[in-house]
Order: sequence, then C-alpha cells, then structure tokens
Amino acid sequence: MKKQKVVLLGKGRVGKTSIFKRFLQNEFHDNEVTTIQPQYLEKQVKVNTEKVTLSIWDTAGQERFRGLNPLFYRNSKAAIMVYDITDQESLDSLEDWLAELKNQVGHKIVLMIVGNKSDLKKKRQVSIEDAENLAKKVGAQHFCVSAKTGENIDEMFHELAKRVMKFVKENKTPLNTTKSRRNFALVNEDVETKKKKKKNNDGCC
Amino acid sequence: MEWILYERKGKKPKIDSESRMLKQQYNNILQQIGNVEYKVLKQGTVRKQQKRILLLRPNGIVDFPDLPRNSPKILKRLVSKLRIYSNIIKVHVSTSILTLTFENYSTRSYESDGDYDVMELASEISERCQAQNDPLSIKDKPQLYSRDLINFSNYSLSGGLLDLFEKQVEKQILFNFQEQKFSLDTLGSLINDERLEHNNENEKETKNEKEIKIKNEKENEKESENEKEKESENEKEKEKEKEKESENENENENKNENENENEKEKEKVLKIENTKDKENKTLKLKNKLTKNNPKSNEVQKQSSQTKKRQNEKVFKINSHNLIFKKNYGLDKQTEIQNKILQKSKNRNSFMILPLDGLDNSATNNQAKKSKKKNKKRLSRREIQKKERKKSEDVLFDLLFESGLTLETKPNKPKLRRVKPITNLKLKNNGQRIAMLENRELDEKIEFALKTTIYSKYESISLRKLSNYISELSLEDIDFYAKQFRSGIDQYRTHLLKKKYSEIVSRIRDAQSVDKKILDSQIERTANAILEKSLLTPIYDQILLIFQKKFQKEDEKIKNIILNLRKKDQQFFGIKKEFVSESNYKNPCKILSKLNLNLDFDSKRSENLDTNTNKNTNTNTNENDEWTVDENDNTNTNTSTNTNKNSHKSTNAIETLNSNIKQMPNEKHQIIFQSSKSIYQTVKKENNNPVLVADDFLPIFEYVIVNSEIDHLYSLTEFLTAFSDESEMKSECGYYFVSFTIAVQHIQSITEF
Repeated sequence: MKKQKVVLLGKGRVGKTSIFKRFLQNEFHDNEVTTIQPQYLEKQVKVNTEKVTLSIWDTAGQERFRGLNPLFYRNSKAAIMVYDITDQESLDSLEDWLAELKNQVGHKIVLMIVGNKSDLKKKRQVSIEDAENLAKKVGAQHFCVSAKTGENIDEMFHELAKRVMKFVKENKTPLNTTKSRRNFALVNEDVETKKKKKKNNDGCC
Repeated sequence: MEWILYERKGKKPKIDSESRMLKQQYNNILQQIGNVEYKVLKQGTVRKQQKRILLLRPNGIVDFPDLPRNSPKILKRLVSKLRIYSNIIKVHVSTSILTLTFENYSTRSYESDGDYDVMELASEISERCQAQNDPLSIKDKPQLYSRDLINFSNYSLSGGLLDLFEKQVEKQILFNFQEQKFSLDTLGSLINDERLEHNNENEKETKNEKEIKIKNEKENEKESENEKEKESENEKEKEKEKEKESENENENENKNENENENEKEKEKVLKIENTKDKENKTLKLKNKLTKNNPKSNEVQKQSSQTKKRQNEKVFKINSHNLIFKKNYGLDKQTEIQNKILQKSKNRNSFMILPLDGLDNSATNNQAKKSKKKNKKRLSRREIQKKERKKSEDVLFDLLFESGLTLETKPNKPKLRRVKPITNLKLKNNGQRIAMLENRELDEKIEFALKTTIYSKYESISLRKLSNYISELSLEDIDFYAKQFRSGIDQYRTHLLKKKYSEIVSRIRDAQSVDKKILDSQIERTANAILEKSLLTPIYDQILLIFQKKFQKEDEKIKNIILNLRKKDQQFFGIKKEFVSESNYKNPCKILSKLNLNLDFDSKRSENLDTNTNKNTNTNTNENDEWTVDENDNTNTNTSTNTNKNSHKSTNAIETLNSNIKQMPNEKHQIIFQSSKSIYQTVKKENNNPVLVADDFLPIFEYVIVNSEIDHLYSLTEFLTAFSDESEMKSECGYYFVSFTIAVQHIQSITEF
C-alpha cells in the first residue's frame, strides 16, 4: 500500500503536537525524537497482515494562517480533528474546520474526532455526548486520548489506519483509465510484439 | 559534372521520380557550394530489399530520409565527425546534455537550448582547433577509436538535441571549409568506413567507383590509364608484401620477392594495354566483371551478345546506386594520384583497391591466391585488426591531401550482421558502470534508469509521449501542465511496473539497501529524468508564460517583500525562543538558489557584459556539477590564453552554464533543504527544537523574504502546476505546501 496522507487539525494549544510526539515516542527513543521534525511524520502501521504508511501533516492552527490551510488538505485521505476536553470552544471551532474540509475535499475523507487531555477529568467541560453527537453527525469516530499518559493513542492510530485502508480500497481510483491510455499511447507491448514479428519475417538486421 | 544513370530494361536512360528528387537535391546543393565533389548513394541490402538513401551534403551532414531522426547511427556519424575535426576524445550524449571530453581530459557539458548554445559550442570547438596547430594531425592524437570512446549509453535524443547536434556539426564543418580548406571527400571517407560493415554494399560501391574511373579514362585516355595501372601495380605489390610479411617476417626476403613480382606485374600491365588497344575499352568492363566473378571467364571470349548481358548486369547494379561525380581537371587528378602513389610506396600497411581492371591470367592467379589468403587471414584475424588500426591513420592523412575517395580493401568477407547499437551493448555498459563500487547509490540508480528508459523499446514510448506533449498548445497552460504531469506519471508507473526487475538488476547494491528507500529513490530519479527530458525544450517558454500571467502578483509581492525586509524577526510572529542570532542566514542562502534562471534574459546579457570573475562568483553557490565545470573553465583559461579570443570563449562557457535549467523537482528539493536547515539552525541555537507548523511558518516567511527570489508568485504557481503528485505526499511535499502557504500569506500582508 502506498503512502496515505493524514492531516492533523485543531485549534492552537489543543495538543496536536503532543499527540504527534506521543505517537512517535511509542516506538522511538527520546533522543531520536528530538532530531525528527514534528511537523511531518511518516509511520508504518500494521493492520492485520497489511501495512499502511501514514504520512501525517501538522497544520497551522493560528488564525492568520487559517485561510490558507486548505492547501494542506489536498489529496488527504483522512483528518484527525483534535479538541481539548477542558475547552468547550475548541470543540465548537471544529465545526468550522469541518466546513472547510468539506469545501476542499468533499465527503470523501476519513474523519476522526479526538478529545485530548483525558487525564484531566476533573476539569472536563466538554461532555462526551456532545462530542459523540458531532461525530455521528459527520460520520466520524470519536476517541478520548491523553497525550500525556499515552492513553488510547495507539488504538486511535490503529483504528485510523484500518479505516483508511478500508476507505482506499473502496474508493480505488484506477491510475490508468482507458481514455488517457489512448491519449499517451504507451504501447510498449505492441511495439515489442511487432518488432518480434518483423524479426521473424525478415531474419535480417 | 557528369551523370551516370542506368536503367534495367530499355535502351534509353530513364529517370524515375526518385532519382529526379535526388537530382533536385543535388542541384540545390550545387547552388550552395560550387566546386565540391559529393556523392549520392542509394544502397540496398540484398536480403531485405530495403532502400536506404545516404545524402552527403556539401556541409558534411548526412541525411537518412528513410530512417527515424533519432537513429543512433546518425548520431554516431555526427559524433565521429566531431571527434575528427577537433581534439575531442569522447562525446557523451544524453537526452538533454551533451558532454565533451577533450584531449587534456577536461570535460564540458552542454544543455540543448536553441541556437545560442550551438553557436557558442561551435566557436569554442573551433578555437580549440586553432589552438592546436594542426587539428588534423591525427598521428599526434591518442590512438583511440570510436568503439572505445563513444559511450552511447543514452543515444535516443529528443528532437531538440539532435537539431543542436546537426547545427553544431554543420557550423563546425563549414568553419573548417573556410579556414582549413578540407574537402568533402574526407567526410565521404568517413562514411565509406562504414561500408566495411556491409559486405554486400561494399562490392557494389567498388564496382561503381570503377565505372566512374572508366568514364574518366575515356576522357583522359592513356595518361590516366597508365597511372591507374601503376597504382594497381603498387597495390599488388603491397598485397603480396603483406602476405609475405605475415608469412615470413624477414624483410630482406620480401625485397627480393618484391622485385621479382614487380617484373611479373609489368608484363601483366603490358598485356592489359595490348588488350585495351585491341578491344577498345569494352574489355575493361569484362575484366572487372570477371574479377568479381572469376568463373565467368568463358563469357569474355564470346561476342557482343555477352557484352550486352554484362552491361545489363552493370545496369542492374547501378539502378541501385546513383553516383554523381564532378570531374576534376586532368592535372588535378594526376597530381592527386601521384601523391597517393608516393604515400602508398612509403607505407606498406596501407592498401588501395585496384582502381583498374586486371588481366585474365592475373585475376585467375589472384583468385587462387585469394583463396589461400582467406584461409590464412582467418587465422590471422588479430594481426589484421592491428594493421587496420595503423592503416586508418595513414588513410586519413592521405584522404585529407587527396581529392579522391578511397577504400580500404576489406580483408575478409564479414559474414556477421551489422548490429545496431542495441540493448545488448547498453546492458553491458550499464552493468559495468553501475557495478563501480565507488559510485553513490543515486548515481547508480540514475544510470540504471537511464539505460532502461533510453533503451530500444522504451525510447519509442518516450518519444510518443514527448510527441504528444509537444502537440499540446501552451496557451492553456493549466491543461498543459496537467497533461504533462499525468503523462509523466503514467509513463513512470508503466515503467516501474514492467521494468522494475530490470532496473534493480542493474543496481549492484540493490539488495543491501532498504527496499522502501530504494523504491522511493527510483521513483524520484525516474521523475527527474523524465522531467528533464520532456521539459527542457519548452522550459523557458513556460516560465515566460507564467511570468506574464502573474505579472501583477509578482510586482505586488515584490513591493511587499521590499517593505518587509526592513523588519526584524519578531515582526513576523516568530516566538522569542526561535529568534535566530544569525538571522537564518543558511536557509536564506539555500533558498536563494531558486533564483537560478528565473530571470534568464537579463542574466544572459549580464554574463555577456561582465567579466568572467564575477560569473564564477555567482556560480559558486550552485550545485556540485557546476563547480566541476568551473574547474574546467580555469583549465580552458590557461589553455586558451594564447588565443586572442580567449575572453569570448570563456564568456560563452559561463553563459552556457547559467543556462542549465533547474527542473521543478530540483526546485522542490531546494525548498526542502532550506526548510531542513531552518531546523538545524534552530537546533543549534535552541535547546528545545520543537517546531510546530504554527512556529515554523513565520520563520519560513522570514527566510523567504530575506532570500532574494525574483518572480516569487509565478514561481510558486509554476511549481504547483508541475509538481509530482506522489512526491507531494512525502515530506518534501509538505514543505513545499508550507512554502506556498507562506508565500500566499506574505502576499496578503497589508500592514507594515
């Protein structure tokens, strides 16, 4: 399976980067993590016997870059939308992101809604029901993770990979459509067979 | 001028449409250049009945109307000419780059680009010719031969380069005509050399030449006859000398025997003269025919009926071969022939075909002898190869002095077919070079890919693709870019699907490398190669279109950047922890490389005006490839100091270097490198280098503003249009997207 693009979305200070880091740290040593640039991450995930490489893109959360984020979405197969369970606003802002995503990519995308900082249960402001309702509405899956403790992180990515694979298999777009084939006339086979035939006929240089 | 046109049936010479065409061409050429001898040969191999036309133009260009333009044979011929007319040792041609290696092992590479390069290239080579006192003293040249030297690993050319090549050669040769007064025949001889490969064709051509000689004789009568007979004497001598040399290597014995032979041969000549007097030249024809067919001796004795038959035979041959020849004056011919005689006396290793017919007895004897010879010669292949090598040099010397076309006698009938430069050769070559351990993986992969892409079958589909793309109009640039990209993608997927194992087999360390890395590397290099070969011819045009289209945006962003340059780092929203002491000098420096040949028009004129020193300074920032070139430039500086025009030539070289085109994928890599160096500087100056997109983008903006890139907006548009989709999913793609975001954000800044 080829690389599948996944974008990380969410308001600033929600903890995208820490999820990122946690996902890395589960496999790499701490020393190595520092050398890896946390904006872009490539990781292979095993689903049953198959392997998927997820290339996860960090996106800008700041307001001033918000309008330009759609450039990041191009060709992405999945989006992880992160909110902070201690911040009601972060969940509300997700809806803006969703609208943006739909404009850019349409419905053909795997969506994950992830509530970060699940270790801070006492400060919880966002009710799980709200989040799950939103997820149902959009056709997304809801997860509660903690980047600090690493709770649910691996499971979330595993589920993501699984869904992405399923999604890709269902929406497989053939690379070489017959029409374009004709256009470019990459007729290697024909040429070779013709040549062979010629050789047989002539038997000469 | 004399025309020899024959026909198979009927008595009147009839000119068919094809020969009429040739005649027209011939006349056109004659108008261009007056007093030059040339040939139009129409050859046909016996088995295939395939017609091939060689058209040797007075400017030395060989045309094969029936062959595809990309034929490696043409290239081979052109290259061989290039080599002979200058001190070039090696010529390497890939789709877009032409690399020349000179005698002092300095190399120079050129990229195909319009007329400008061609002129400079030609002038440079001609200057190199001048630097050597006598460019044609082949004796002084290292004895290297085309098969050793010319590396045809990538012979298939996109149309542009072949044009370049032809123009270049044309100019070069025209130059030689003016300056050194070479005759066309020297070129003809080059082509004649190839005849050695075609045995059948050889025979026909020799016959034709003899017939020309006969015609000449009719005019010149006895004088020329005698001379030619002398020649034939000498040739016999030499042949016999050769035999005896090879048999007994004692020179003393040879001399004695030669004297004896000379006497015998004189007698033979007398006989020939007698017969000629009696039978009035017609016997000559017979003699020649009998020489070709020794068994037909009986026919000779018969009456005029047989003559007719034989004539018909000649006609048959000539219907395939049309030879137009302008007669030299009598004096000239004799002079030349005397020269040849003198030369040939001095050199035993050199042979000239008997130009005249031989006596019956002589032919019989020779036929017997030749049978023996052949047996012995087969056993002495190696010796003869060496001899031929030696004789080649002498041949060239002679040919340059004489105005005649000569032939080396084929030592033995070559039965094997002439192989075109095919996969087989390429495979060996490719494997050999890819096997070199010192090479980097990148180079190995590149070589393996090139050998497969430009191989026999692949080059066809590539050519089809390039044809398709060249047919698209540039007006709808977005559509063009889409088609271009999808064409490359399709071709690449097809290539990797079918030829993957072949490619990998050519990379020696393939198994030790991680397969993932290898695959991505192969994909990337394939993309780079294809891009380069397809985009180079229209690169400038496309850039211009983009620059015109986004002229307003370019100007706007230029003004904004000018304003932003005064601002400090914090203005861009860079956090305090990431404020760099060095002002992100390195990333700016790297990103500035993007500027290469964006503003190509002004750069070109600048380079012409400014001195060479300045140019070398600008080049230092560029890739390793070009630094190599710089070294060469210094070499040429020292070598051409003696020349008056050394400044011009070096200037030309600089401009050529600046014209090397930076492909989209290379530009992507530059952006990637620069963003990586941002991380490195942050890591150096900061203990906790965790850069999120929110932190990174402001820094990137700062870097973009402070690196000098012209036409920033149109550049980003150009890169997005011609970017590789699969590459866009990778890390490089991420940074390119953030680059575009940064550019767009810069453009939207209104408050300063």
